[in-house]
Amino acid sequence: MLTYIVRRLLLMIPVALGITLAVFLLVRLIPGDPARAILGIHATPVLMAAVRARLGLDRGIGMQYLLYLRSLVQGDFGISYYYGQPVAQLVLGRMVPTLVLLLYSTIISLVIAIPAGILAATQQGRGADHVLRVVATAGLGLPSYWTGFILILLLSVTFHLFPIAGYGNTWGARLYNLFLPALTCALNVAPLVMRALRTSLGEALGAGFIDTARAKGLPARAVLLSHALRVAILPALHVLGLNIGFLVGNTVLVENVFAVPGLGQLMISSIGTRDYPTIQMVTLMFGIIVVLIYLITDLGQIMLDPRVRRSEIG
Amino acid sequence: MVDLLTVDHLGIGIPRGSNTVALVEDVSFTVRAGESYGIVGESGCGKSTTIRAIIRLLTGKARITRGAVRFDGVDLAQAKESALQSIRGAGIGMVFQDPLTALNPVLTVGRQIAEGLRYHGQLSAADRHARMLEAMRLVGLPDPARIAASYPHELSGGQRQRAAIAIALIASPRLLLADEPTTALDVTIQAQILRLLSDLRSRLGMALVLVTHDLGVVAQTCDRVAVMYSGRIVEEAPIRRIFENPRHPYTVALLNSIPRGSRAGHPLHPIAGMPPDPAHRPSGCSFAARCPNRQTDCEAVAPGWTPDAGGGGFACFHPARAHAEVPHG
Ligand SMILES: Nc1ncnc2c1ncn2[C@@H]1O[C@H](COP(=O)(O)OP(=O)(O)O)[C@@H](O)[C@H]1O
Ligand code: SF4
Ligand SMILES: [Mg+2]
Repeated sequence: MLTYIVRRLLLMIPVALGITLAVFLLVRLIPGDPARAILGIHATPVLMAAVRARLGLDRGIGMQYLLYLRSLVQGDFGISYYYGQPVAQLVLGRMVPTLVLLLYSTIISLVIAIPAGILAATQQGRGADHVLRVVATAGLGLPSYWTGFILILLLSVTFHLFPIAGYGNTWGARLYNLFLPALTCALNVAPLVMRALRTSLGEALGAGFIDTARAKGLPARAVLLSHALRVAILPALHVLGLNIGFLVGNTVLVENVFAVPGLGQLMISSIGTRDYPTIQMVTLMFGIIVVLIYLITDLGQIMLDPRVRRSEIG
Repeated sequence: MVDLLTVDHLGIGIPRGSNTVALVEDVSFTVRAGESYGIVGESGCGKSTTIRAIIRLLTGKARITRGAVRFDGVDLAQAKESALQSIRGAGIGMVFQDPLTALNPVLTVGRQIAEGLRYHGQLSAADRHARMLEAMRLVGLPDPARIAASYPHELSGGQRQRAAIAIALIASPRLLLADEPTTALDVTIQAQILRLLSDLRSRLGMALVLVTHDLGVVAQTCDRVAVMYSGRIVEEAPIRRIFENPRHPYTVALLNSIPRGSRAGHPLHPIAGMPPDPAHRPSGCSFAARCPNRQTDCEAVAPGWTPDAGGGGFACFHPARAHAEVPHG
């Protein structure tokens, strides 16, 4: 098990390297100039050139990348052009809201998707199944910023149930404030998980071991939960894992809609200010988060499924 | 011996459009306490449908359309789900054909065996565990503690079927239904599992209904046998009579097709043709298309039941000759 984890962690190095290169190049493709962003539109060319030289932007792009990598290896992520602080410090402060939002929306996704998937699978072809299919398709199709605005209008502006935006100082306040953003993210992912569960649970309910469970005299509830769902949840969790990248992308949008002071908000504002070091580190962090979550879901899969346990770790 | 299970004019069908397609028609038989009763016939003749109906585990849209299934004074065909749950496992246990799909792949074997006890009786967790290990020993699983902690994919086919039998037996049913319990297994393992079932039946004093497409299996295991064809019982008899003096032409054909030394000297004759689709059964005898004894009257109406003096009977207008010397009873 430990060797498996170590091997997976080592595999992250080339992935991270790829991310740094891609982001490094993409950032420089954004039209606009950091010196201009720092100095404003009235800056003189001389001043601009001086700033560019100070930031190291006057060198060749290959050289810039190598210097960037060298500092990375030394644990130096650079100084934010905009905030003037070490990027590492800046990003670490923004990590927690994003991670909380991710975890929160994952939990809400499951809380929505599992009962809905069970209902759809057990009512297959009947009313509830059709309704859920329509709702799920809508949930998937609507962009999260739009859903976010609708939820704000409905639950915050009209009914005053939740705050429009913000984060909070206590955990209670944070969970309360983050509920709408987390729900917004979840509404995009839950339909995928629900559909996967509908399919896998439908299959599981037709499997031979269900006959065995029923022939033991188990009540319908035990047959459904401790036999069918126990097997069917695995592919559904797999789909959730595969869509973590999508969920992370959603948090970026949603943090901006709801003014959550997380990585996504930092990323969008840094793009606005052409704050290259910050964009680079935030994106690298997102990449690492996604890869780590993949690892966690794979480990979860191994824990929950004795059939892969043996073959994967062996 | 007292009658334990009485299947009485059982009909099973599936709705198709505004009609019902009959899968099983007018099936009646009785299983006595402690006896071993075989149901034999080609694939698709309605054996699984019949025994699944007994504990009301029909697949898909199949429904009981007629008749009764009396067990312990209760008509299971009419019983409510809660009554069925208390009979399943504790009154009637069931073993299925494929032991790999019959076991839950993500739960330990021990848990699956002990699970039935949670819903039958009031045993403590420790007692359930002890009973589980005992049941595993009873079905001949080696090293019960280790196997209890294993998952189905870690066991061999024979061990899986033994585990499935332990699942069916753990709550001490008086009747065990076994639907082709050896068909999915290697030949050598088949014999072991059959011996185990016979052995358990006599040790535990329970009755066994054994479904198989193989008359050889029936010969080794059963006291009486019903031969099914196209959703009906076409012949029923004590085991000796079936082998010594089969009356229905289908039974004769089945016997001629046994690929075994037990019928040494007889050439192997697989039965030509196919059983009719349940949706398109002929109006007369459904075996007519394949029957060597067929005459014109066979195709007009279905043959009725002719009881046999020694118990059982057959449904045929032109049966094979009765041997006078066959001892009755
Ligand atoms: N749920 C069902 N829906 C439709 N047809 C069925 C269903 N169950 C069984 N049948 C049909 O009923 C017939 C008998 O099947 P089965 O009882 O499985 O036969 P056997 O066990 O003797 O092989 C077959 O023609 C089969 O296709
Ligand atoms: S009734 Fe006629 S067709 Fe049917 S089995 Fe008997 S002889 Fe053959
Ligand atoms: Mg069958």
